Amino acid sequence: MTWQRTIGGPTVMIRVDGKPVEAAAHDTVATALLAAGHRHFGTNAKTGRPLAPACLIGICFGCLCTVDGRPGSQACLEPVRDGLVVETGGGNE
Amino acid sequence: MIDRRSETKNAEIVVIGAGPAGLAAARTAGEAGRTVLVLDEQPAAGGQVWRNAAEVMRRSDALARSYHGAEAALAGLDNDRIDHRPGAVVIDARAEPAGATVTWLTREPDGTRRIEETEAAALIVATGAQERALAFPGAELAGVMGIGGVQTAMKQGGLVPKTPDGAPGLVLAGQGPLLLLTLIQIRALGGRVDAVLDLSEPGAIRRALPHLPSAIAGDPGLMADGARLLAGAIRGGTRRYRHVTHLRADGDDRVEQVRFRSAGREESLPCSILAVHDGVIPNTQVTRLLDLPHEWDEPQQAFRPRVLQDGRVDGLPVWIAGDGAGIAGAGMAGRRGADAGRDAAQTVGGQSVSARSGASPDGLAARRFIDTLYAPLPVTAHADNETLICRCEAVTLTSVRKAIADGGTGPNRVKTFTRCGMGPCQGRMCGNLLTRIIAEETGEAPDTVGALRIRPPLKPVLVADYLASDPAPVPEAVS
Repeated sequence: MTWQRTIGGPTVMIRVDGKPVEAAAHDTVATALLAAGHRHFGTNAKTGRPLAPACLIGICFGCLCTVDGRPGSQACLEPVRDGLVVETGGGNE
Repeated sequence: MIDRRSETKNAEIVVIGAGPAGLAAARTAGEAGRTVLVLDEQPAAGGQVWRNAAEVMRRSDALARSYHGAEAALAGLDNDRIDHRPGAVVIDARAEPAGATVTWLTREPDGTRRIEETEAAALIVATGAQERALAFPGAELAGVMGIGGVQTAMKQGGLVPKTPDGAPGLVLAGQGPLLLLTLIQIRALGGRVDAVLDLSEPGAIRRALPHLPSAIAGDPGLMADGARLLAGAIRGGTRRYRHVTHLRADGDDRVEQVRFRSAGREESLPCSILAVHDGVIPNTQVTRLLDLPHEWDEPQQAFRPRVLQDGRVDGLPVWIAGDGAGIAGAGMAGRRGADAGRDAAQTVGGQSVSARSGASPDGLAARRFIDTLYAPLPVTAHADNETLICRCEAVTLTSVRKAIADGGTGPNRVKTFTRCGMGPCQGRMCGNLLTRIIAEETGEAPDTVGALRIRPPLKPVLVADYLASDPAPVPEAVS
C-alpha cells in the first residue's frame, strides 16, 4: 500500500467496482480510492495506458471515473457519501 | 411543470472560486450590501491553501500551521447576502459592458447536477493557481503526480505516502517553497520521503542574491517563513541529489523507478510515486473563455489576464483577484480579493465602500527574489524528442516541433495539426508548454504567439444535464 491515512474521524461506506470500501467522511472519491490502494482509475483512450490522478484539484483529468452512474466524473471533485457507487477502468474520452 | 431552477436567485455579483481571493471578495461585497453568488468547484470553501479547513484544523496540528487566517476568511461566508455553492462547475461565462452571464452545473444533495444560468451585474474571477506542467519522459505514467497533488491528498484525506520499510516509496523532484513545505508536512504526519531531487539551476542562487536585501526589507514575514522551510527541510536528513538533469520516469503500467543525472553521475531510484514541482501559474481557463486580454509574465513564464487597479478588467464589469491574476501567494490573494470585492460592490451599488486594503506592489517585494531563485525550468530542461507535451492525446515534442515547422505558428494551429490540447483536460496541462515551445522555435514573443483558445463547455456536460434543466438551455457546444 502506497498511501496511509493519518487523520481519523467519522467514516462512510461507498462501493467501488462492486466492492464495499470504507472512506473518511471528508474524503473525495479520489482520496478514498488512493487510501483503498487503487493504483489506476481509468484508461487513456488514446494510448490504452492506465491513468491515475496527478493534481487532485480538477486540472489533469487523470482521475475520471463513473460516479453514481455519471461517466467522466472528476473523482477529485466528488465528495463521498454513504452508498455512493464508483466504477473505475473507464476511458477518458 | 416543476421549476427546478426556482431555488437559485440571481445575484448582483458572481464570484468564481472560494479560495483566499474569492472568500475575501465575497465577504467584502456582501458586507457592502450586495448579493453575491459564490460558485466553487471544490467540495468545500477554502481553495487549495485552506483545503478541507474544518477537518484539518480540528484533527491535524501539523497541517493546521499553514491554515493561518482560514477561520476568519471562511466565517465571511456566514452572511445572508452570500449564496455559496460548493461543487458548482462553471461551464460557460460571457461578459459585456452591461453585465455578465455564467452557466454552471449545480451539485444537488443526491449528487445529480442541473444547469443553471445566472445573470449578474459584476463577475469576479478568483480561480487561483495550478502547478506548472513539467515535461520529461514518463511524466504521463500513473503514479507521477504534482507535489501539490500529494499535499492535497494530505489535506483532503489525511493521506501520506508511506510504504513498508524496504519497499519503494515517494521521490520528490523539483524546486520551490511548496516542495519544502510538502516534505516537512509529510514527515510531520509520519510519512516517508525516499529522496529529494533538486531541479533548480546551479546558477540560480547567485542570480537571486542581489534581490535578497529588498526581499527581506519589504516582506520580512514571508522571508522568515521561507528560511524556516529551508531549515526544516534540511533538518529532516532526507537524501538529496543536487544539480539534477535528465529526469526520467520508467515503468510499465505505472512508475517503477526514476532515473536522472546528478553531478554528472547516472542514478536510478525505485519509487512508487514520483512527485514533481516547478512552481505554479495562474489558472486562466475562465479568463481565456471570456476572451479577456492577457499578457506574458516573463519571470513567471506564464500568461496572466491584464487588469487595472483593484483587478478590474478594462471596459467590462469583470474583476480578476488572487493568483489567477498573477502569482503572488495566499496573503496577497486575500487583499486583492478584498479590493476587487470592494470595487465591484461600489460599481454595482453606486456608493463608495470603505478604504482599500493596501495591496500595493510593495507586497510583492519578495517576488523577484523567489522568481529568480526558483526560475521556471526551460521546457527542454528534461524533455527529449519523444517526451509527451500533451498527455491526453499523446503528442510528442517532436510532433509539436514538426507542426511548427509546417506553419503552425500559433497554439491553435498546432492544436489543429497535432491534437495537442484537444483531449479531456482541454489544454490545462499542456497549454503553457505549447506557447513556450512555439516562442522558442519561432523566435516570436509569447505575447505574439498567444495561447490556446478556450471554448465552452469548460468541463464535460452530459445530455442528461440539459434534460434535467428546465427550461432546457440551448447548448452552444457539447463535448
